[in-house]
Amino acid sequence: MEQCRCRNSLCCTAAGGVISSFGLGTDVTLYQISKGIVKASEVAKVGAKSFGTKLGIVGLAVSGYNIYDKGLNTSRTLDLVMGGVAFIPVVGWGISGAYFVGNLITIGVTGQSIGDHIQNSITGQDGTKSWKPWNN
Amino acid sequence: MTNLFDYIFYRVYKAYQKRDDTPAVYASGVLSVMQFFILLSVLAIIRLVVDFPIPQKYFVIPIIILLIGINWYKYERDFDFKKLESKWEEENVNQRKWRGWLIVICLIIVVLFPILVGVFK
Repeated sequence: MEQCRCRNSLCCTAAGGVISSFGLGTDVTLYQISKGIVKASEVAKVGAKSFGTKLGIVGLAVSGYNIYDKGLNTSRTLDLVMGGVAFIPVVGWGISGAYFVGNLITIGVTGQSIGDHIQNSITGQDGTKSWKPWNN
Repeated sequence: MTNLFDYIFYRVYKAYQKRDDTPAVYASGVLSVMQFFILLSVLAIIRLVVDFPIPQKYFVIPIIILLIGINWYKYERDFDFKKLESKWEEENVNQRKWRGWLIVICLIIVVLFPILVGVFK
């Protein structure tokens, strides 16, 4: 049996007893369990970061294609910029995540995105209308 | 082409290495974005010559997921970064700077080109 690395031998004995009663055997120490939990949380953190970044890439691609297909407006530009901002570690995720969640809520409540509202309030025109350099 | 993408991955990885503990996630992400916009630029060039209708925006989701999947498989899953490091660590400083700028300029061009075509068409 591997020697317990935690300082409280009583906790290891108790944990060993509990683990044995679950049929895991006494070879599993509290130290190994805590190490496993730390490793699992690290894997979950990396997985969440990786998944979030990949969602941002999908958003960026859809925004880019949409601009190519339909032209430029405030909403599509904001989506593209916020997709790019997601590549800035820590600060970028916060800004980008807050924008996308806020945008979804705004669309759900008002039927228009944040960018549509901004464009509408500045130009007084339909917020979904595309910007054309020769036709404004 | 694989060599070019390997080099872009290597440089982006190195750039993120100082700022984050999972640089492979970002490097593979930047590479996927670049590959997608290269494809979009090719589509834009072809449609400048021969115009044909294109599907709506959700059509791109399976394409970008495929690119992300390929890059994840190649660069994130059990990838040994040391192989790339040993390949380019001896790179001359001036060449490194020049190639770094080239990557940034290429990224800007491939993203801006389809956008400008979309605005001006």
